[in-house]
Amino acid sequence: MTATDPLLRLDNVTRRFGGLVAVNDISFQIHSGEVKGLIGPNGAGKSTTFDLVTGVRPPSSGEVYFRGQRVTRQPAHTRSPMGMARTFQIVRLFSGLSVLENVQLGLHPKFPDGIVRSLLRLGSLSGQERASRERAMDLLAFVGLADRAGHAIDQLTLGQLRLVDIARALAADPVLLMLDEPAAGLNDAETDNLGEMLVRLRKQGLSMLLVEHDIDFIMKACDSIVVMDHGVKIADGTPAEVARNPDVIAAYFGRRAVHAAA
Amino acid sequence: MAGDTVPEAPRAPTIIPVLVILALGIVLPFLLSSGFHLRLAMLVWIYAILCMGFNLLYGYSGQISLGSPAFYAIGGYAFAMLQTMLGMGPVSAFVGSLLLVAVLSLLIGLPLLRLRTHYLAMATLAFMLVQNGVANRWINFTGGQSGVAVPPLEWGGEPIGRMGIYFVILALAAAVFILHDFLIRSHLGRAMQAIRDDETAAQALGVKVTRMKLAVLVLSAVMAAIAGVCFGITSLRVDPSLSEFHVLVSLLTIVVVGGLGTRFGPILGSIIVVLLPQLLHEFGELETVVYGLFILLFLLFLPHGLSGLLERRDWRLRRTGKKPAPAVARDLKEELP
Amino acid sequence: MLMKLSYLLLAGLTNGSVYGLIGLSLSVIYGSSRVINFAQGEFVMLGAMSAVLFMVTLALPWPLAMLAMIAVVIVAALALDYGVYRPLTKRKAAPLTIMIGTLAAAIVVYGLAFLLWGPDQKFVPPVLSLTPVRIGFLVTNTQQVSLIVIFLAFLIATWYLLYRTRFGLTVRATGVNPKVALLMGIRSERIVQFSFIFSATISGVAGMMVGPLLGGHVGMGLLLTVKGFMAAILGGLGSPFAAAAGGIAIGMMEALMAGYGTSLYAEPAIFVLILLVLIVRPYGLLGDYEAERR
Ligand SMILES: Nc1ncnc2c1ncn2[C@@H]1O[C@H](COP(=O)(O)OP(=O)(O)O)[C@@H](O)[C@H]1O
Ligand SMILES: [Mg+2]
Repeated sequence: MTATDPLLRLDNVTRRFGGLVAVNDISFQIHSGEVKGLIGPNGAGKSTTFDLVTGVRPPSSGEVYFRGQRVTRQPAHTRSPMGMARTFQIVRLFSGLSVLENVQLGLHPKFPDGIVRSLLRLGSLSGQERASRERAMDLLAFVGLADRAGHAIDQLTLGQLRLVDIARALAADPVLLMLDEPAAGLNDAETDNLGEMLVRLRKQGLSMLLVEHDIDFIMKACDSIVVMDHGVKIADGTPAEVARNPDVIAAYFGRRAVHAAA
Repeated sequence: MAGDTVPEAPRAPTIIPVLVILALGIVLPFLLSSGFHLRLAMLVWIYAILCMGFNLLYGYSGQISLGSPAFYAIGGYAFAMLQTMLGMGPVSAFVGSLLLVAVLSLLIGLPLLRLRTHYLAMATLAFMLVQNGVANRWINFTGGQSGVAVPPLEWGGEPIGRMGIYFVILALAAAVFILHDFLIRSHLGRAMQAIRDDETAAQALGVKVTRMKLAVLVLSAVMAAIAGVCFGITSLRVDPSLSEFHVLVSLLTIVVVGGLGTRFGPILGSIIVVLLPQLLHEFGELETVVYGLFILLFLLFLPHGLSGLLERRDWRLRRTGKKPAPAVARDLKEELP
Repeated sequence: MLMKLSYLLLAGLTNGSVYGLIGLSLSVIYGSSRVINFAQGEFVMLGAMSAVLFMVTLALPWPLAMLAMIAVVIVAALALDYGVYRPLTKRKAAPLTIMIGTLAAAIVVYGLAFLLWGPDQKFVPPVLSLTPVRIGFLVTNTQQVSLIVIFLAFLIATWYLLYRTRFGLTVRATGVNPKVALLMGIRSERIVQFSFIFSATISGVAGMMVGPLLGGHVGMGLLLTVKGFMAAILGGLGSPFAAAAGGIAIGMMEALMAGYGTSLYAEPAIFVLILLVLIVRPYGLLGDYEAERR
């Protein structure tokens, strides 16, 4: 990978569900250190794009490159060791595990792989387990949930669950963090808190791909924004450029708003 | 609870209870007066071995193989036939039967584990019925109804006595038990539970879901085969009854009553399922109905079984009185466009 | 030569009709509730054994016996619904737990039937006649023919119900997404209950009709559940008709392999075949709408 190569590159990625084209010929790039927003009305294909990038489902056509490597058809579990981490729009924590253990699972790729290999490294395992617990505690402290470590998942509020999900994604030390509507369902205070957290992460040089409906939030948080509608990319640029784009205004407020603005 | 910075995880590394149980296993035969009681004790360990494999696969990983009785039977048959037909010694026959079962379960698991879990359940059940049919009807090879004799274990030219057999079984059970416990308490157990709760999320975190499921399936089949070998060396005969429906019923009763996805559920359940019919003499014909009802009632009212009542679940105990978040309403809101 | 083949095909068609009916029943329940019902074969067993109870023990005429048999399986279906399905879904049990619940129900039904009828094979009286009838060079009997006719009739009835009525639309909607269906004012509990009753009736009738041909015993249910399920995965669990077609295919293969080889190979061979099919077409030969949703 050369210095100019983007961190993530989508080349003409398409995904069909039966007759429906959920993602239609999408291309964009994220550079190292960049925070990219991905916005669009409901059903625009944002979450599906996430799935295609993270390998949850394969694209019908097109290619995905991550850190200069083609990952289009690599299974999903290969992404985390490469430095890609994500959250899901509908929080998908493991209900049978404690909050702490959920975060620890983010460290799974650092543990020995498989039953035999684990048995061979029996000696170092308990030390590694302790280290992973400390790291998970640090991450919980970072998102402000240290006091919830021992709780069961069903005892947390939605806002707290989203933070646990983010802590879990951060556990693997990703270079690219992908958040699918992290502020959905949060109250104003929680949203502000989340915004501050993202600013801190951004300062640490973490690249991000953010899906969000809260326009103010996205305008503040992102270096650049991709706008999708009905599976198609309709704009790609800085927040200011995107805000002036008539197609975007049309997609969000309908045609009449464009005429009114013109 | 606010004081400690790093809470003890449920995977707290203490093997002590396991060692205590095994120590009890060592003194047990000296407390039992009759050979019949010793035989029951052996049966408890055999069922415990069988069910620990099932527990790892279903209780922890959420994958269900109803074919365990078939692997149990095949393990026993292979152990007997490798000795009688190929003239192998007991140790190589033991290793050979485990390898055979490992390969078989791999061949079945590869196509099935990619699918939704009920495919695995039904297909493995079909496998059990096929295996049982072959054992019953391919008389020239399997001896049909009467099965195959298992050569008695010998030590220095002398057959090993009952007590010796007990300790052979205990040693195998100890190996399985310790491995079971190690897996549950390690990061692998955590990954297994993650697979059970949400495969997609587990995969996104770097868990090799398919490989893990396959590994646990093979491991559980091998554990079943070990149990089958143990059955063979205690009964000196293996026959089609090893993979009959009632074995599956006992297996399910043990894991559900003992506690699915718990450390000591398989052992607790085995003790109950082996002893209960002895205590209730009137049981006889009612046994099947009672077991079925047991399974139902436990699924409904004690989904973690008896073990769930006893086991200390650190983080479960930390529950505050707060009402859980209204999960369903939340899902609804988010799934709708 | 031709006679043997046609005889085998007819036998395959008969057994295949039973497997197909069970596959169809499984698929109807799966379609509305996403549950694999392990007790499906027990409905067939109850159908056959009720025929013994009502027609032999109580000496009722067959139409009455059939109504009584349907009452028995409906009671069993309601017990499954209220005793297993609803309480487990209310506790948010995982689909596999519910499946184990239906297996437990199957165990209970088997155990009770065992107490009532014992382990021996029972003669199940034919509703129609078992006297041989010649159609061209085919030798058959009205019982056998009526089984095939009933298979076709239920197939058409299911199709009509699912695809030509408003009610069928709600059934299908419930299967796709119970929560959304609920928001549309569809009571998914009702739908699931209906699917239990409907499929129990189908399976019960199948049991009463096939009993005289196969013989009835209390342990017959499990094997039939598995055969029905194999039919459903061979054809495609997502569609009742694909599942029914899978049943015919399995019945035919079984008969042909038993006729030209030995029945010893038939079961293992079919099992391996299904594994192979699943490798090539994970959602069955005729597909599965679930595949589309992935
Ligand atoms: N698994 C699936 N099967 C069929 N259609 C799907 C599936 N997932 C998403 N879709 C459809 O694809 C389109 C895009 O969905 P999604 O990516 O979730 O949009 P967004 O996240 O932008 O709201 C929608 O029309 C949705 O109904
Ligand atoms: Mg979305």
